Amino acid sequence: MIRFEDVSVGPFRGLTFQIEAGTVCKIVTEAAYEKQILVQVLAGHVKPDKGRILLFGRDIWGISELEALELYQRVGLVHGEGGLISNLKVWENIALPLWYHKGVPPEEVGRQVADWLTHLGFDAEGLADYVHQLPGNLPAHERRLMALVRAMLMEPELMIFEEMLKQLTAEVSKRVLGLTREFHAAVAGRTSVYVGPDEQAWPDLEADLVLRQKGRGVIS
Amino acid sequence: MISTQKIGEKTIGAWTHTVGVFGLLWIAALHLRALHIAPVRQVLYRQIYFSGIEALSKVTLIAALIGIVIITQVSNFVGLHSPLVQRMLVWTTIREMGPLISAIFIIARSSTAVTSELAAMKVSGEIGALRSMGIDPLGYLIMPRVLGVTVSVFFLTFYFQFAAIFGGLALSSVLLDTPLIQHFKNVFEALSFGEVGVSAVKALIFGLLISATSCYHGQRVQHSITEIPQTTTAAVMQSLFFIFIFDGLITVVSFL
Repeated sequence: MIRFEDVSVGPFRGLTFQIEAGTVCKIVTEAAYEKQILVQVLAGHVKPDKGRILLFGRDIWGISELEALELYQRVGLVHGEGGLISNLKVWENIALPLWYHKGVPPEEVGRQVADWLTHLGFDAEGLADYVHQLPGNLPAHERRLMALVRAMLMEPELMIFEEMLKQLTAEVSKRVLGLTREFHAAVAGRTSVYVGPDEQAWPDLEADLVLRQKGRGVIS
Repeated sequence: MISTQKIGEKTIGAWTHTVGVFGLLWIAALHLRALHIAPVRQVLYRQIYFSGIEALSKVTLIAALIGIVIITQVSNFVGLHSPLVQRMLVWTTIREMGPLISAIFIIARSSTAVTSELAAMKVSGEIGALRSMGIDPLGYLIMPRVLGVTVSVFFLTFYFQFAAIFGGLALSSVLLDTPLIQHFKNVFEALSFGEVGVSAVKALIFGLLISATSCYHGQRVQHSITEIPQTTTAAVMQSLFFIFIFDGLITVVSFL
């Protein structure tokens, strides 16, 4: 599913690891900077100085832009800051990828979105007003929850979570983990990768594979 | 003292930006097929709304005032009863003022907004986030903005011309105490298809250049928020250069 072959980028040198399909994986970096670089490389925003990164068996820097865009439709990336589009309202942000790729209009996903958001602890009564705000009015952790819902709507084969539980209360963290675990198990072969610098912030996350950064650029 | 090296660097920079702007126009044309995607059309409609429709009230005021100024100035030289007054109003607004002032208005109002918005989206990682959802930023962000601003400049130019002529003629009508319809008749007599055609060509080219320049500079920033005002200023200056150069070129060619 994910394969790093001798990748050198930022602080990392000769990074080599593999995450198989169907795995729940934790990648623990030493600091936020390393985490950020790793997520940017996985998302294809930063090109490594050396080595290959394979997603679904395809070298993300060895394929055309069109092929890369098609590949990323199979990935749900939840950015630490949310990565919501600032000039779109929250509900437009949530519906955007599904509307763009599959032509499903925003009003048709309302029920599913409402269910997930109430499950995450949002007040069902005030939800209509809430999702009509611009993302700039929301704190980072709420933007991240919206990005989670946005990513899940696309039913991706690979979910990547960047510091998913940061700044969440214990109760909401528990609900998020429950939801992502359920989502992971819903489809055989779905892969979930949690990336963050502080393992203690996500003690309840049970993973099949834990990769830890050890020293300068080694993850094993 | 300006060194030769500095002049060389500036020339190469200007050339690079010019090639970049025309390259972006080409890329935007290649992405026109993305218009079949509903959210892309939504971005286009919003751009036309912000750049075109929301600008109408201010354009009306500015155009009418310019029409009044032209009538006042010309009638001061040739007398209010001279048919030259209406002809001068038509010639100046259709040939020059309409396309040029509409373009400057869009540069001040929309070009700055487009450049700073795209630059802010790039710095905050929103463009990267779009790509990581499999959404092509060129098709979703750039192409509809180029098209939306171009359409807005095109129609605002004709609207400006109408409002300026109407404002000037309304003043003439009041001062001469003659019916407004009579003045419009004189205007239509002074108009030719050639003049309207040249005006349309200018509006179209200005629209394409302003929109592409704004988008080019908007997506040129890297990581720092301090680049946003710098790139916005660069977009404004380059857009102004482009429209004055092309205005001169088209005007000269149209009289050959």
